[in-house]
Amino acid sequence: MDISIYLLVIVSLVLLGLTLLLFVSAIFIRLRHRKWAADIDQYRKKMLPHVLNYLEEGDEKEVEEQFTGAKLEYYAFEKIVTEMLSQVEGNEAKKLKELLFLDPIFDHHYKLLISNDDVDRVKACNYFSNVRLVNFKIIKKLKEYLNSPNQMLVFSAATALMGSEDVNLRVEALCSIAKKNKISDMALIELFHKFHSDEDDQNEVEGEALKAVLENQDISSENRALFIKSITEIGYYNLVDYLLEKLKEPTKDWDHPEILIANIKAQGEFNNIKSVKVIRTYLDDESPEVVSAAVSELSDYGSEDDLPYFKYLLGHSDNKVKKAAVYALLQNNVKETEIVHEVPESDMRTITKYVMMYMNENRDRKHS
Amino acid sequence: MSDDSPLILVVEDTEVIYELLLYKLKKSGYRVEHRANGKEGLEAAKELQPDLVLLDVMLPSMNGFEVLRNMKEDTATKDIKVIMLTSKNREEDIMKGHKLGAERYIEKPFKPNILMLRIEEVLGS
Repeated sequence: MDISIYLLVIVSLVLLGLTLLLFVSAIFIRLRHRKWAADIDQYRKKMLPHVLNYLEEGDEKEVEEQFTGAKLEYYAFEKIVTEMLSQVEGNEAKKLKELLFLDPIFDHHYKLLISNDDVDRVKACNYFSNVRLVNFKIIKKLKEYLNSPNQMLVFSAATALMGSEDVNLRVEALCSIAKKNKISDMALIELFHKFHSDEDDQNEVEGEALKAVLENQDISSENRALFIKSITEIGYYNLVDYLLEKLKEPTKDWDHPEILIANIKAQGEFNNIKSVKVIRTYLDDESPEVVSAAVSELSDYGSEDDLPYFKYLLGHSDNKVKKAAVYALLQNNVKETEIVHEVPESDMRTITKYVMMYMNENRDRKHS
Repeated sequence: MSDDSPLILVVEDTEVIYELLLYKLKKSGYRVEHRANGKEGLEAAKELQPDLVLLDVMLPSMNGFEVLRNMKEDTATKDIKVIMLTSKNREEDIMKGHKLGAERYIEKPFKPNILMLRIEEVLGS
């Protein structure tokens, strides 16, 4: 009895101690955060008038002289410039971008880039990505970080490399990222869009260089399919025949349902009439998803010759294919009664449901 | 800056942007007042009777359209000219602002010098 009370007192004291420790550390964190926010605000207030003066008078020396070397000062300054850059354009935007090249800012970020702290390295990568400035020294470091076990650093380094004018370097960065299976779809798509420059005359060169990424055998089929979708979205039209060849005779790396679907859709998006014959060969593919994609594309670009085959697919064992066939037939003005007439009693309910769905969607589309 | 120079009320909540606008407007010789949310912006419009309101759409407490609607329904503020700052590619925002009676719409990101020209145009009309 005495021992149990003794133990209870000890446990209570330990719990009380832990609660106090948590309480004190919570207060400490809050105070530290408040101090951090106050410091940022102070630097912001100090820097902002000089940035505004610079925008009017154009004297960058005035801004340069304000830096005292404090880390937060650079942070506050960058925040001002990037926030403004997101809201203004024209002459002011041009001048703001020039501010990011000031020697103290550049030197500060180079120090961050070669530091041992991954958080600082990521910050530096983000800066070099914003200013799209990558020289030999920086490239060497960024390429080194492409092999880091820290995914965030790898992605930031690859993003910064997208600022390079050298298309092969951008392809190399894209390949390094695409080989990693843990990378998210969103990150990969974002990077791909950064790979694409705004210059129209670069489209052909970039398209040609992208073949190296698509041909890389270490890239997963999901990532290859994602690249094909991005290629379609951005509009690398010069890759359409290359992709069609891959659809015609897919090698092992290209013969995955998700890649085939992305490629079939790409042909449709690029309005490639030449692909119709090849897409028809996928109407009896073993993957119902591939068959559905082929039916959907042929319903847009095929001919009346495809209609009997669509009717035949109404009896397919997979509902996705049945649905695609119903939609394709209705889209090609086949009467709903004719469609329902084609199917056996057992499929009647399913097919009628898809007919109704199509008609509802079509009505909604017309109303909107 | 003289007391009879036009008074412009800037209703905008992004600090760097209102600081930029205030700086440029003052440099151009206007008297300037600033409010960072819709409700205070509407009250200031009634109280100060500015010559022009530069009104952002995305505002805390009351959005720019509500401010504009309230201004146009109130006899004390219905004649005050308004330039709206809207996000790019928001056609519906522009149409809405037009119906509610804004004089001009400037899309963000904007060119500050073009905005100054529009302000001159609106105040001169």
